[in-house]
Amino acid sequence: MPMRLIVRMALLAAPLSLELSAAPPAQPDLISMFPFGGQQGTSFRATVRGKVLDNVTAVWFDCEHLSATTTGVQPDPAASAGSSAGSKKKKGSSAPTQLLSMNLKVAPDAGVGMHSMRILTPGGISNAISVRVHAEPALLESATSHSEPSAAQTITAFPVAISGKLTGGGELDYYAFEARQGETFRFDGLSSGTGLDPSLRLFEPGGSWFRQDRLTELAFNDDEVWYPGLSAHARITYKFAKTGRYLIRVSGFLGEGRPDNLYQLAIRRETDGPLEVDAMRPAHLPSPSSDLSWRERTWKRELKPDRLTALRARTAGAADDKAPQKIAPLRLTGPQPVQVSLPALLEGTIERPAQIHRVKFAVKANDRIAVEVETLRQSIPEFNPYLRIVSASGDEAFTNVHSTVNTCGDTILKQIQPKTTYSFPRAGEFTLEIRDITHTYAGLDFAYRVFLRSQVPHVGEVHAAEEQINLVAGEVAKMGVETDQEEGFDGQIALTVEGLPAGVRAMMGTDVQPQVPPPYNQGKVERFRPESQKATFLFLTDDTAPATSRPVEARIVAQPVVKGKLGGPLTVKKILVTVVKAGNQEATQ
Amino acid sequence: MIRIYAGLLLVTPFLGAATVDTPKLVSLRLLPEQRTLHGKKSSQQFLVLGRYSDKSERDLTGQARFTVTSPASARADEAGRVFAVGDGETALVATAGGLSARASLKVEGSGIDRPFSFPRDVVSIITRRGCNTSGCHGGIKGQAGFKLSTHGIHPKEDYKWIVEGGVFQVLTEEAGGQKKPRVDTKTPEQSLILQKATMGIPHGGGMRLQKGSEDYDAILAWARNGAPYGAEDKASNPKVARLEVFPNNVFLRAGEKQRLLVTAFYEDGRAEDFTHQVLYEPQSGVVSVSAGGIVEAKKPGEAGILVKAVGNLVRAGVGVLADPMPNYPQVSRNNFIDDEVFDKLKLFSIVPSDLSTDAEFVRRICLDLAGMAPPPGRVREFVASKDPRKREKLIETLLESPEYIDYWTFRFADLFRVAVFPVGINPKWTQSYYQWIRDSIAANKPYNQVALERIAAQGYSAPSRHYLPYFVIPPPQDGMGEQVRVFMGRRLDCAQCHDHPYEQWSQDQFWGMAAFFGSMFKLGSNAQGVVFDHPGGKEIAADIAGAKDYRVLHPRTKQEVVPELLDGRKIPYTENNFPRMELAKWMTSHPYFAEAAVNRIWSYFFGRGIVEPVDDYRSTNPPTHPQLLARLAKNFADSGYDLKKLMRVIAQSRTYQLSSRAKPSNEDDVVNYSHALPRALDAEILLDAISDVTGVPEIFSMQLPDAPDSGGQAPRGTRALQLKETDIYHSPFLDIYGRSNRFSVPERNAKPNLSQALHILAGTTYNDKLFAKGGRIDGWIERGTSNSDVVEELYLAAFSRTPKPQESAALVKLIEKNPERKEALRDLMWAVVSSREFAENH
Repeated sequence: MPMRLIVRMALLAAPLSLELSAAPPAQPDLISMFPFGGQQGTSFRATVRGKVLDNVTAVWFDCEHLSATTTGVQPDPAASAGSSAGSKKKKGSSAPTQLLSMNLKVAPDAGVGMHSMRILTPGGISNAISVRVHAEPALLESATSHSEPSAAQTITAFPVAISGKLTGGGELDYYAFEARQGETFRFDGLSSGTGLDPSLRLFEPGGSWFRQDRLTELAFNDDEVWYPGLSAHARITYKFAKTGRYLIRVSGFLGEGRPDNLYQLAIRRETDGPLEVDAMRPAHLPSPSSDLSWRERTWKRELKPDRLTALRARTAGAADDKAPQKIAPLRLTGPQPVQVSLPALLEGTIERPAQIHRVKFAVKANDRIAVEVETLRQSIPEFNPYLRIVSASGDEAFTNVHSTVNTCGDTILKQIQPKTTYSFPRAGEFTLEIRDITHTYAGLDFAYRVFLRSQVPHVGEVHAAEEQINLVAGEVAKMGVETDQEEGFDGQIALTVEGLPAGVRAMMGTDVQPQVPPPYNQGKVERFRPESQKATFLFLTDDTAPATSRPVEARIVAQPVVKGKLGGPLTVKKILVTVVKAGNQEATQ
Repeated sequence: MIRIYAGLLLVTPFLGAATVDTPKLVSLRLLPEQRTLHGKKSSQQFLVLGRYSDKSERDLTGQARFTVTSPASARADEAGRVFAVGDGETALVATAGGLSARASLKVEGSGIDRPFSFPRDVVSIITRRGCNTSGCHGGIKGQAGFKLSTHGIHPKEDYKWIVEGGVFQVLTEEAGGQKKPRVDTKTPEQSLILQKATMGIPHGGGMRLQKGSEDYDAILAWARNGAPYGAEDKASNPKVARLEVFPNNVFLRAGEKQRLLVTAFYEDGRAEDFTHQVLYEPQSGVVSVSAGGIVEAKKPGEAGILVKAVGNLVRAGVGVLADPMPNYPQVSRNNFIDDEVFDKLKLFSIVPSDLSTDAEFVRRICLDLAGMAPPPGRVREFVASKDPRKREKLIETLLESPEYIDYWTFRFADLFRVAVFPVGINPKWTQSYYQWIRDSIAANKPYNQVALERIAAQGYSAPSRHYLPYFVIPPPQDGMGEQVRVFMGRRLDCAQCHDHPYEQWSQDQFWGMAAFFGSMFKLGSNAQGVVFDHPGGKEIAADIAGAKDYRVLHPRTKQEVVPELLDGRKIPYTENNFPRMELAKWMTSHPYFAEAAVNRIWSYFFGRGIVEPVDDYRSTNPPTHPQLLARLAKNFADSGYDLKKLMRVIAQSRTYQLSSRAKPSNEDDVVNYSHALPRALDAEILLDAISDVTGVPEIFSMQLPDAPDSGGQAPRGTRALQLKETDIYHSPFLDIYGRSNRFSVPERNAKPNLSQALHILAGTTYNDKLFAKGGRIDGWIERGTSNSDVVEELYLAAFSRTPKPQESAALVKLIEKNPERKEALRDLMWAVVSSREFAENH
């Protein structure tokens, strides 16, 4: 499916005639933007903090419904503070921080959620920072201090998304509001992702015997579940038992306070719409059927009835006509084993602590199977699906737990995995047990889907670290790509880059890989990790390649090759590419 | 005069002893009333007990005369010990005070030497002579290469070390070093065990046996006979199941004596007199004890006497009373706590102090229930109130205050070790764990439920975080040891390497308990950390070298240990059970649980536990008020383990509300709650108090002074006791005053130290607050507060009382003498906040 062009350029009045120098100009680096979002159908002023922000030629969004014009750049008074969030050390990183003013416009039909924004300068395209589009009316925190309960900023209208900053250590922002008895409110403390981990507390200012201004805490719900990959935004849903005036307080989780510690406090009532929505969800996701969305080993990837068909699409050669196109799911409910034949798509819910669901299946010697698990609602770390395959005599054949030894060689580590492969040495009947790994936790949210099937060798995920690349005319740049070969895929993978700017060619090359000492003991890693290969693209940019006035969206395309047969193209990555000029050359529009 | 009591009923008659006529002897009895002597050399010590007109019972053994009705069967000595002579039945008659008593006696097998038994015939001598105490050869490493089991708990091992020799090693049954026997069967007199004990060759333990003594001859005879172990079958060599001592508690007056009667009960149910086969160890100089078990009271006070036999130990308690006090005052009582405390005070002729003043009470109760002193206005209001129920009402107000939640969250965060490092080097986990405690306190969650959630915690839950110090599940013995210490008040740790030297806890029991924690594991990377127990106790994914079964092996036997409760009930792992949950249920329903909980809470209100240290219950460390402890525990359990109800009953007692001003009869008392003992404020409470009085809040920063920006800062206005992960905030004050780092179960040391003195003089905390702008001093100056009002407000804020007229006059004069008023006020403020009256709860 051709990728939709989602670049929106706003050409600026700034002169395009650039200062010339022998070296290419440094790349722009964005750190933060305040406020970092706005309401649909509104315009707002924002200040971007970053480095090398002079001579912006365009502002890029991932969505045509957002646009911006810059209005000026000035030195940052707090120049020594802050750092580039998530950006690598690169040319220009020692440059002083600057403030770029701009007017942003959010179209009424802009998607709610997190968007990304970049700027384009003669140095190329910048890293992305997040822009949150919301449906709620926007409000800025008041200019006067509201760090004491007595000076709390009063909020009168809901829903609302308030943008604020926590720039000093231990800083607190209080907001006051009225709630009626029985009303349920939802509070979201959202971070722009630039260093602040927001924390929320809800208070009733009832006073105490000791202090009349003492606040009584009603709720605290910072993101207590801190788990890699999970969102770190604070949430409170609270039903008020009585009518009155209440306070919601925003602070840094550890009292952190820096210039880029920006937050949005979204408040809405039950009457304003659904409360349980993901306020930090991306506004744009690849289509679920797109190659770009392909995930092999995540707990949330969908194991749909046509999973086998999707897997076969990632290989090449003759199709297995006997294999079913769709597999009807089988519902498991009790501990008694249910006989199944492969492939089997199993669904169930671990409703009671220590409950075990079982299925029996038969294999032949050397049968190679894969077991995939999807968590439908709760997921790790709350729901930890533990799968165990035991023989008829009760011996464990394998599990979805990957045991390794740490680098010191003195500690065994274990991790449950969403996908496991195994080759049976002998024929026999086996039982698959499905449970939560604890004895304590269960519930209607502990719903799973397990796909038990024969292995399908195929191309897995293809990883390229770069989101954008700025190429300099007359120079060669490189980009590493790593390809996963799943379930014994022993063919080749053809890689190409499509849609490069004029004067740029991509060639496959070799590169020296850093020597990495072998891990201490990775256990049965072959069951849990695909084989992977590293490749390097070399981007050759002609001397005469014209500078790009806007980023070009290039695509990395992979094609499986099996026994001389070429499989279908898989667009596995999109990157933004610009060409910039070095030396005494003038930029071209 | 001697009184024996086994509870309140027997004590009560004695309480009036000082006010009635001298009681008369009304009856006599012998103890035991009947006994059968088995074997050639068997004997039985008897006690003669006289019942008096005041219903008390006293030991008259030393004054009695003894005769045996059938001398062919037995003979009696003048001390009341009867020896077997020939088979038959007879009676012992004791005469004293013109009355007599009889005990029936049967002698069997008088011509038969009982089978030799190494434990009974050799180890008992070693025990009686103190050779196998934990301070001597019974220590973990033994002494001078010679290791014996503590109090002979492992006689077979003792036999090996004596007969075969060797050097003991802790975690193995194998002996190390040169094997040099301590007994020489070819030249028995040259046996090392005899040579050393008689100082024939130098012996660090000194003279333990006299040549020619009965014990010396017994060991010599054993060596001459080839040093056998003797019968091992249960029938001929039954094991002593338990020891009993009579009386187990007794009150004496100085100079009075009491003979102890020690009886061993064998596994087969047979009883044997051990009075002359045990070692008596008094635990203080209040009493002395002869080798034959005669206790002599030396001076007023309380003492325990440890009675040690082979592999067994029992304790007798002795109270030595002062002279009865004429006209002992009537003291009103608020609840059962007062009944227990005041009865004992009366017994010891200690008069409780007066009821605290309102000013004393309001400061004390605020600090104890809410962790902060009352503001001046509230002190004035409380003192002025004429409401006869104002104390009750204040207690209720405080129990429902948000400050109560803060304070008790702090207390339990300390106990449960909430800190970044001990809970996994992850502030998110710390806060989650902290919040679980706070929510539990706010909801007044039943304490047994809190304990259960913590002991059996799994998954990614908040209470499970404490199982991941440094991201790693602690060794099972550590995890178990902490839970038992916190929730049952027992320290089993000694039994990790050997059977507990003073208690009944064996090494097997220790590892049986540890096995409940042996299957725990952390799932995921360091940042993930889901706690689970291996289902079935079996390794899952044993795909790598070094994988093991998640079962606990006994360090000495190397055998798998099945999880076993202290009561002996085994909870083996099965496919689906969760033994740690079973343990949690058992622990939280065990009487130890309620006792430990009430004792700990009690200690927060009185500065010491009824058992002290609060988590070191031992038979050798008994409660000062056992009945009180039992009643508090029952009350707590009956209330559904309601912490607020427990605190309410404590706070409402007159005992708690007594003044700290001592009376002549109670000034030396530190264990009987006759008056309130001043308690140093904990570091966090003191710092908050200084902030309150000076009006300058503390800022808690993670940033070290003069260091580049190193992190965040606690929300402005955070009080020290509200800090969640206390260890990450830089605070010299808190360090100097002893904040707990929570790396282990906290034991705060309230003793003052030199650093505190220096900090008071030159530390930043005091000086910065005195010189900070916007504080209380600036407020006085801005408002033009008069000097006398300044002094009054300062006293109310710091001490919760108004100054005495002479105090006020002197201080006003001092202020006026200084031309710089602000400087004078700073001096005054410094003097107040550095005073003991301020730094203590009294």
